[in-house]
Amino acid sequence: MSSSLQLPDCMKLLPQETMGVMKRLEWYARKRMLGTLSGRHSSPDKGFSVEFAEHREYAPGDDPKNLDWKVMAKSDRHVIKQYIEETNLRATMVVDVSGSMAYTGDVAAMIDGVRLSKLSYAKHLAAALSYLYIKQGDAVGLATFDQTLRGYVRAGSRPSQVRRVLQELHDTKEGKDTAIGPVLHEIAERIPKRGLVVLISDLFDSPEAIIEALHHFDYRQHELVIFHLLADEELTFPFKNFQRFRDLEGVQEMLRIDPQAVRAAYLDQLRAFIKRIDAACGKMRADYVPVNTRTPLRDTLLRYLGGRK
Amino acid sequence: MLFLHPWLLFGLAAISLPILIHLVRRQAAKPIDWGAMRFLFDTISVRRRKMEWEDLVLMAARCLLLALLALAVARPFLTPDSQVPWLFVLPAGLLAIASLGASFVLSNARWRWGLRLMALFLLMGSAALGYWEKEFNLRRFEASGRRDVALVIDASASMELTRSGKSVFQSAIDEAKEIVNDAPRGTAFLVVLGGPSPEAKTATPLTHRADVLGVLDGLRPLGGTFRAHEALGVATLGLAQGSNASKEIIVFTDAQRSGWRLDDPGSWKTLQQSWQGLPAAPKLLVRNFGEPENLANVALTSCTTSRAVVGTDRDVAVRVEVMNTGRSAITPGAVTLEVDQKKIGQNPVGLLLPGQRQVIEFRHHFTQAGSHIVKASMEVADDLPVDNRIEMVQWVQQRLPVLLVDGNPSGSFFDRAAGYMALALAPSSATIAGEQGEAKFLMDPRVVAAARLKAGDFEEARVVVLADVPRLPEKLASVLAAKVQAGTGLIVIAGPRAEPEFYNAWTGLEGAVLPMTLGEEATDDKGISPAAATFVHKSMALFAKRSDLPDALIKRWRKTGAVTEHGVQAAAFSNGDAFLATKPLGGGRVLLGTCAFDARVGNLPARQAFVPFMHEWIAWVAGTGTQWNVDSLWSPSVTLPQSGGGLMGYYARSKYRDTQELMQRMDAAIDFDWTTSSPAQGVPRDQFRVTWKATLVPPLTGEYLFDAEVNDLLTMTWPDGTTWRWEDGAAPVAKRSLNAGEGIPLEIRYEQQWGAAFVRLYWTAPGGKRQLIPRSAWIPTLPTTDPMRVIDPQGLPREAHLRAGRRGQELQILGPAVPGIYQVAADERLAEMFGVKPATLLPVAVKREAGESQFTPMNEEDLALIRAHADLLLPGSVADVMAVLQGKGFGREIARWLALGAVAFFLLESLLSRWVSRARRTGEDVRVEFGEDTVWKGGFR
Repeated sequence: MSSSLQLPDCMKLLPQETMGVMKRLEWYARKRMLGTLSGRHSSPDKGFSVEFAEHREYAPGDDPKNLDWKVMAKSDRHVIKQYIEETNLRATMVVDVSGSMAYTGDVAAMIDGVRLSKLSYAKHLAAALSYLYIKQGDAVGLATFDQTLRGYVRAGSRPSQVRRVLQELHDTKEGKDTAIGPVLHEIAERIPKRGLVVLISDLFDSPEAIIEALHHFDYRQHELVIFHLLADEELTFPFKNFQRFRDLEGVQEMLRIDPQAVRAAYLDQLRAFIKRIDAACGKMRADYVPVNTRTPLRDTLLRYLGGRK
Repeated sequence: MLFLHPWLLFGLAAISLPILIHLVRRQAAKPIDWGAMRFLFDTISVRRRKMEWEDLVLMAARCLLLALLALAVARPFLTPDSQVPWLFVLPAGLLAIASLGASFVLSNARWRWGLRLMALFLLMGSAALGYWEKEFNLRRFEASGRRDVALVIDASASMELTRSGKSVFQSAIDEAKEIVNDAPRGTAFLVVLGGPSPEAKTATPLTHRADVLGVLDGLRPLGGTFRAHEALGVATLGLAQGSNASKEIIVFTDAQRSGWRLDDPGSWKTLQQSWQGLPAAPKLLVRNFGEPENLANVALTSCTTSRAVVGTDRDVAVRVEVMNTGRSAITPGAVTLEVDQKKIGQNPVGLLLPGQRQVIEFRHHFTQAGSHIVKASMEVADDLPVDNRIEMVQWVQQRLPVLLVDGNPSGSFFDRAAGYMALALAPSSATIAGEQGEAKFLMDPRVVAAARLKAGDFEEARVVVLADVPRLPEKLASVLAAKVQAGTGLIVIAGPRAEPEFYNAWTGLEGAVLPMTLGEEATDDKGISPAAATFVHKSMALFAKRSDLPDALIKRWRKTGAVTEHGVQAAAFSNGDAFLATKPLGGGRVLLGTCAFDARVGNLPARQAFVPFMHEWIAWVAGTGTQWNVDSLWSPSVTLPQSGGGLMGYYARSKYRDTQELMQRMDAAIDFDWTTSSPAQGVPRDQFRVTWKATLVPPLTGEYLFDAEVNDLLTMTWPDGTTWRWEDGAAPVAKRSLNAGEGIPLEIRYEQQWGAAFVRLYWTAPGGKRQLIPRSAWIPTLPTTDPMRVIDPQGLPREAHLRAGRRGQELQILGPAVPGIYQVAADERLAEMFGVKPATLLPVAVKREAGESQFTPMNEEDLALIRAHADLLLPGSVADVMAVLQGKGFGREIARWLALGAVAFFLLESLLSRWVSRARRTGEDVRVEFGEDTVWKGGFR
């Protein structure tokens, strides 16, 4: 269908397989994408003074008290009444485009025969999620950062938002080193209340800074989903011979080491780091999703969107 | 440290292998762009130093392992006495190599280059030292130049030990022949056979191999000890005759300590000085065949009689000592004793542990006077059979004439001073009657009253006893003193009548006659007794344990003063006063008793022990006769003390121009009063001349005064030409300064024309009185005579001479003193001395040295002493000796140790690398849990 049309390059961020998966997951995706909002107040204001927006198919897990009994009586369809606030979810994709995200490795998942770097993976992931939110009528915004805020797209819910987000993602090249802390603080300020923040990053910054920023989010009552992206090599350190390691972020000097000598210690460090982030997220009820870029994107989406909490 | 294959040292380049491998590994493939640098850095920063150290040690271990292998392959050896301490060079070199390897591991550039610099410095240093040692060693072993080599073969008894079927002597000969055959051309060899008197078997160093081999083949072991020091002297003399520049002395021996004069550093210094006369100091190679490992040997170490004076009157005990000189216990067979080749007894010997001795006793009654050969032998199969026999010569006296001078001759027999004593010596009624003792007694006492004593009475006596004699006239005193110095024994009983002033002033040529000065008499009514605890002297040994001497009560005795020179107290009374004292005087012995040996003063003569006591003491003072058993010195020589000194007189007619020599004889002193009769048979009464030739040996240093009483003329000619004359009537006194012990050959001539003939030559020693020059001051200049024929223990003929010695004449047998019996055919003079017929065979025994049976090897101190004076090398085998001769040098190979070190480092490296990898947990399957790796399974609903 779309092959005759010349798709813009940014559309490459939503490849066929992704689309295929997401279609299947639309129903299931809903609840997931509400993040931690589900289960809480479905609307911040009590009472019925909110405006009725539209109907929506009942998906398992929705609150039964929102069921529109009238429609059910008439047409034997399970429909939910959606109110404006309920549907007015603002999700902000916060994508790390620092140098360290440029790492690809040799076993990363491939899309169209090309191995995905962490950055590409992040972009694809952000694109998929943005599409899903817009499809569901939620607002999606984008912020890219490395040591500072690089790009920012205001949240919008119109279908054209997808294109804008995709374009921004596509145009973004990798940047310098990572400084997540101050950026998150800034983003936390910018995002109005009750937003959902989806952070896609490798979190290669000092854990204290990250955790402090997360606390800020928590304080402002933002919901947070952290997709922690790591390449398989970063997780297994499979190098055998002497290697020279160049810093992608250009900060550290080149290291020439015997990988086998440092493997165990390195992995210990990594494990400790991951645990720390995980624990901190657990305390703040931020959603922590570890993603190994070896995992094909569709499996990641499936797992995240389709899996139970 | 030198190398047998120095060119193999290029193998050290193998060290570059681990370094190259390391460098190649570090040349990593393309660099990796890495995102998670922070974790790497965190990891590295903590561990970098530790990891570098670990890598450093591993690299050092690998380099050292290869270095040690490379060094071992080049076969290093340590030369003995090397100047360069290998203990420094080897570790320095290894440290250099380790540093070099390590420098490639470190990341800090300063350290890297610092280590490389140090490595370079150390390597150059050790290489330089190694090269210097090579040069030095090369000079030392001098490949160039021909050599003179002295082969000294130890021919002592211990070399006859058989080891693996061959005697050590034969092994030495074989090795010597091997060296002669394989030595470089132009080497000249000298052969010295080392025994008790080492002699050179080749006159000068010979280059003709066949001749040298022939000489070596003809060598036989001699027995006896190896006089190594003297052998070196003989070798040095021989080498001096050689024409080559380098000299070497190779000694083939089992390096027993004795014979090397290791307790006399002065003699080594002398040897060193003699070597300085050679063009180059010779190298001394001692090829030590080592001591036998499990020596199983029993030896007969001594054979003695229980009494010094043996007579024909009764038994004597012959004691043979057996000793186990080996390392294992042996039960030898029986010991057999033969006298004059007739077996007289056989006694078994028990089990002997190593080092244990046992004395086997035989009793024998010698029925004939004269010399007898006593031989003991033992049946045992041990390593050294040559010491299972021992021989000795025992001279048996027919009679021992004893002169008893009685100081209290009146009264009854038992009141006389000498009565009991005479009876003790010859217990028979004949003695009491004053008659000649019966022939069956050895001791032949003759009693003379003190007042009737004449000089001639001393002539025959072997022992003179002055029993409570108040004093002697001066002439008799000096004659007696001279006789004692010539060997006669003297016993002085200082009873109540003795006059201390005389005795204390009585001196012979060599000091006071009495061993202690006499004091006043003392009395004790209860009586004092001799104390057995004080019987420590050898002569009192018999009475120390069980005798009734301590039961004697003495009521009157003399107190004594200080001990004179060489005097020693032999026994004391219970109150501390001296009882007996003794001293040697020249060739004889003097015994002093402080109480009278008769019934006036106590009951000593009534003791049962009195008779053996007298016998022991007579035997003791008489026991200085000729020793026919001599030590194994250079050549066997027997001192004949009774021959004494004297002058050799040549009697000639001197009628106008007729100076025909008529006779020769030995005269004791120049003290003659011939009046008008002829001096000797065959010499006219008048117109004769006597020329005395002798060497005057002054006993003291100082100025001597000489004078003479003469009729008609006496001249005395000194070696420098000075002549003194004394003529009838004139009695000038001549003075001369002389040094003690320095003999001066003199010629003294007496001329008689007519009339009375007397001549007496006096001297006054410094601090002494005028006296006739005594016999003991003269060593006669003997005329040369034909040598006597001797048969040595191996049955070969030898020669012997009578020579004039310090203490009298000496019978000297030419040739080395091999242990055994020598039979000397006595010539007239010798026969006359001993009262036998000319041409009688007189045996002389050379004692075996006990040290030969015991292997006392040289210790480190001894080697250090030798090294201090000589360039000593200790080759371990013939190959080493050849290496020295070929100039290569030899030493202890340490390749084995280096190889072991390499193995050690190999193990170390394996262990280390395993430890390191474990510490770094390489290979550990560490996983990081990160979500679910697996694809979500389960499909969709």
